[in-house]
Amino acid sequence: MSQPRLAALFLAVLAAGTAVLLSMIALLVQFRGADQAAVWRSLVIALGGVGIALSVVGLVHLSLISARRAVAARNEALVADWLQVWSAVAAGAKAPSIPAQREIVAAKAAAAVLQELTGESARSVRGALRAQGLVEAELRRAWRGVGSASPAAIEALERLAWIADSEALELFESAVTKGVRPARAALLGVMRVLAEQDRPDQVVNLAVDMIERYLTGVRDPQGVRPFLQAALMASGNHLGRLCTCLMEHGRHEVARTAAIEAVCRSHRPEAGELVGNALLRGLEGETKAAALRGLALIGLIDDAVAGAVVDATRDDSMAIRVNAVHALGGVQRKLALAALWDCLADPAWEVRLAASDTLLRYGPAGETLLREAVVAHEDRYARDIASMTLGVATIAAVDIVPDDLLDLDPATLGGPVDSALPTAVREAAAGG
Amino acid sequence: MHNQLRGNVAGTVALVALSRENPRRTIASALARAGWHVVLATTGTQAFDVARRDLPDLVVVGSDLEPIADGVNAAQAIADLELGPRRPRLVLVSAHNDEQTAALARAARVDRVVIVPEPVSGPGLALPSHGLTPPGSTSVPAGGAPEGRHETAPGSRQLWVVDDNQAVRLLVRFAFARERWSVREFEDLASAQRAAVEVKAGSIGQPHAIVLDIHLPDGNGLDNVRRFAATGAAIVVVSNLAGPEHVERAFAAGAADLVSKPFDPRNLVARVARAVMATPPGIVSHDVIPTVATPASANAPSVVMTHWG
Repeated sequence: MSQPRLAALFLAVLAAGTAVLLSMIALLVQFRGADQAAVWRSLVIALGGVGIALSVVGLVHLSLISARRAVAARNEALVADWLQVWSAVAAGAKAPSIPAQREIVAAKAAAAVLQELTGESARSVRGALRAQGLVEAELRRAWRGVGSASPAAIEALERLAWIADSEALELFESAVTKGVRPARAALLGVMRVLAEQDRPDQVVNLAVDMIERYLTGVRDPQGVRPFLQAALMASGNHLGRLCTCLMEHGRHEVARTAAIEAVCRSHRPEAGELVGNALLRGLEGETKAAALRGLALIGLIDDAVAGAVVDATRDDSMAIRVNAVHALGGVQRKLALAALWDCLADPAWEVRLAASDTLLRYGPAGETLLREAVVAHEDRYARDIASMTLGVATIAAVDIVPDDLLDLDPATLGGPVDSALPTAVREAAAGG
Repeated sequence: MHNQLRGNVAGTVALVALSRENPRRTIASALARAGWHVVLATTGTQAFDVARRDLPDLVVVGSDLEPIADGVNAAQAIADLELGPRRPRLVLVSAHNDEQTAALARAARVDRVVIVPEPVSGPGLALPSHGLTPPGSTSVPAGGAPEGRHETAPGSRQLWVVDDNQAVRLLVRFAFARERWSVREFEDLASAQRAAVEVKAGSIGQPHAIVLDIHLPDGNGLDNVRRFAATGAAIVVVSNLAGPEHVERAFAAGAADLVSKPFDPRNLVARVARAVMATPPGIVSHDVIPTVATPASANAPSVVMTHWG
């Protein structure tokens, strides 16, 4: 509920409470035997007093609200002024000195500007902040209360996370175990500092250590995965280096999964190789699903990894099979079309649907294969999903395919599996 | 060029493989608007791999792409591919109508050759020509770049920035003001669209470039790229959502560049200047695109940006 509404509610409750109290007093006086006129007089006086008191309370509240709004508006205007100052500094202007009473608004504005800035301009602003002593002042403010979780200290910590000055690393390291809000600010801060490093190794190690400590401290590590993934992406050009460390065996599963998701979502050039290698080294459960999901997102899969993706289409976990099927969209045609043909007959409907969708995404070759599947796939569910995908009536398949072939077990065909594949697959394979 | 491409092709997947950005983007946009699913490649190897993977029905390939191997040109290599039962139509794009081009066209058995001369920058000419000429013409006269707003003095360049974030608007304003651009700020799409209508009516001057955010309080910037491009400005999309889908949508809608946030304003100035130079005046105008089209809709064409490690 917003503050003005809360204030109005408070006033209403206060008024009702006072009215009830006074009525009770008046009734009590009446029952004590006083004459009726005196009771009424005292009641009128009491109610008048209450009215005046309520008006005073209301006026005080309104004054407080408007004063608070005025302060907020003034602060906003000051922040806007400082936004201009830091924007000018980013463009190459010289930074002015910062009065002590303006440090917080100046830091707020700097944090807002640095959220949008990178490169040389960001370095100019950070240099100015340091030269004017603002970073030092914010560090003092944060250190003073971060242990006791004071709001002012946490706000200073959050501003420092956006300012991302390397002098704050020690503070971030300490804050990562100091509660939810400080920990999140600390992780964001260390990632942003990392993004600005020319030599990232030391900060990468610190970040990995902080993530491990953070995950062992939180009640529900899986629940913080989306935040962690978003924070990792703030590490900029060093995301690959950081994720390589986080994907190592022995790391927290949530850290590994978040790293895979982050590097894939970043679409960085090294993403495919990193995740592909991790898949080849052996992943399990959620990390394996995340890797396959990521490879599907990247879209181009190296031939060396293609075999592992095809193998994953036969995994026990349905979720892994679905993600593997989607990833087949980026595998070379020869392998992918044959595997997708098999996946059309997967026991799980979700996998069959994913296979038919992936075939459609393959363009003309995939669509041709789907049409073949409608009439010639040995599995009736495969024929069904293919016809559903293409919008072709299943009855047409029954009309075309001879009855004695419909329930034929592929194992009884006698020849190698390849010979059972339709012409389209062989032609596609020969072409690819 | 657009009509020629539209008239000659009727397939679904088109591969546009050109090393020069300007004709690549222009041809891709034209094909996408004509209903093609366009895949882009910038090197010979990419083109070859994409052709093998996506079985395009049309291949527009540049003669200047670097050889695949042992001096084999990409066009020739693609022509030699066994791309399914139907051979794709091959259009060779070259900067020179010379014997070398003719030899390559013969070797690759191309269906058509399009001559797109190199941009020409004459003395005192601020910006080069977009370089697209109809097939058959062979050169652009020296200093023959189109007349127009691009040739105004640098001091009078106009920029619009459409972003709800005050910090971004200020960063852009200060950075461009330093380079003597005149910057007009808009907090939302509605106010920018009103200004675009005024440009169309001639009551205010055309902007040279528009820096456009994606997420705005009253709509999606990407849905409005075409509308803003109709002002004749180079559209540079600036967003923290620069994923492949946004890249695809932005360029398909006619954006000249896409810059991801956080950004370096000095770098943005350079990229906007480059986008202004590369934007062909008159390619997109309010006469041909009166309303907003959403490329993501069911029948809308698309341009696929292929990412290569």
